[in-house]
Amino acid sequence: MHLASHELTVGAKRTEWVVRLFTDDLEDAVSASLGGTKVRLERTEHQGQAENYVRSKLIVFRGRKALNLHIDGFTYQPDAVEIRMHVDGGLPLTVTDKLLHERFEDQRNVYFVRGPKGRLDAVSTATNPKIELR
Amino acid sequence: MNVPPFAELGFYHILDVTAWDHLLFVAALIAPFAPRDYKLWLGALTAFTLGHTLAMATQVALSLPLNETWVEGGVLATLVFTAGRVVWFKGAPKSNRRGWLGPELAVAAAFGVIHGLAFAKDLGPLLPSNSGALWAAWGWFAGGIELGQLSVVVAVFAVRWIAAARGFSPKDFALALGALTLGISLHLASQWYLA
Repeated sequence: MHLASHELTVGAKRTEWVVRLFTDDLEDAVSASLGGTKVRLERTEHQGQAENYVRSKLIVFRGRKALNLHIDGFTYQPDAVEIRMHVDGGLPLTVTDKLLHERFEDQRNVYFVRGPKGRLDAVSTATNPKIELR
Repeated sequence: MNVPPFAELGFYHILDVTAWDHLLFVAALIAPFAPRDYKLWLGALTAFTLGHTLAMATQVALSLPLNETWVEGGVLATLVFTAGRVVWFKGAPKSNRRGWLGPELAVAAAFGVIHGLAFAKDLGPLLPSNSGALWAAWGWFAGGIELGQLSVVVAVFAVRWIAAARGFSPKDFALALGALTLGISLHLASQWYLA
């Protein structure tokens, strides 16, 4: 099974969002999205490509309004990368998460969400990529 | 039903046909036991799960500077020891007690620690920093491991029952299973050593 994880901390004005992906999985996906170009995520220019890939695969709505996913930082480790992001405002959020689903049929993207009313954990899969957080 | 992903991960961590170490370990561990010895084998499996999960959690939290080669070698050593013990005692390792506590339990917990240290690097980077979510992830993972192990137990006992129906004694079955797991374990160990 392939895994990635999202950790969301929901505030009234802003939702902090950290996505963690295995480095080799993300390099593989970004490389495929660039037509096979070799990608090494320790390189800054490739980190930008990875951020674009993440933005293209994570679509966030509040009601009917599409939200901008702001990228705040990128941390590279040989095993895994961590991308820190935020969206303005709190819940509700509807996330369509297709991260890595095009590469791995068994990809599971796990959501650990700490909302104002407690935890709201969820999973995005290739067959069910939509997450409703209320 | 929506299975929590960390439970699924724990389950398939045991039943991973591309990495035989857990399958072999569980098969060798329960080879000498009958279903009615459930206190012994269930206790040992649970001790293994606890050792595995606590070692992973500790390693993820502390990032101890472990030598990966030694840890992987340690995993193989646990397989060879567990299967070798069954063969050494000709399918009937000595046991002079019928309670929950005993050498199987202690050895299984210690071996769980070694297996857990080996897997920590694969799961640690994805774990959440929030403590509540982290504990939930560990809990589901441990539950998945336990269920995966019980699946192996059910399969082994089913084969044991078929073997008994064909005239194999429990001791012969345990010896054959121990020899099989020992042979595969030694093969894996030799591959690791050469690599």
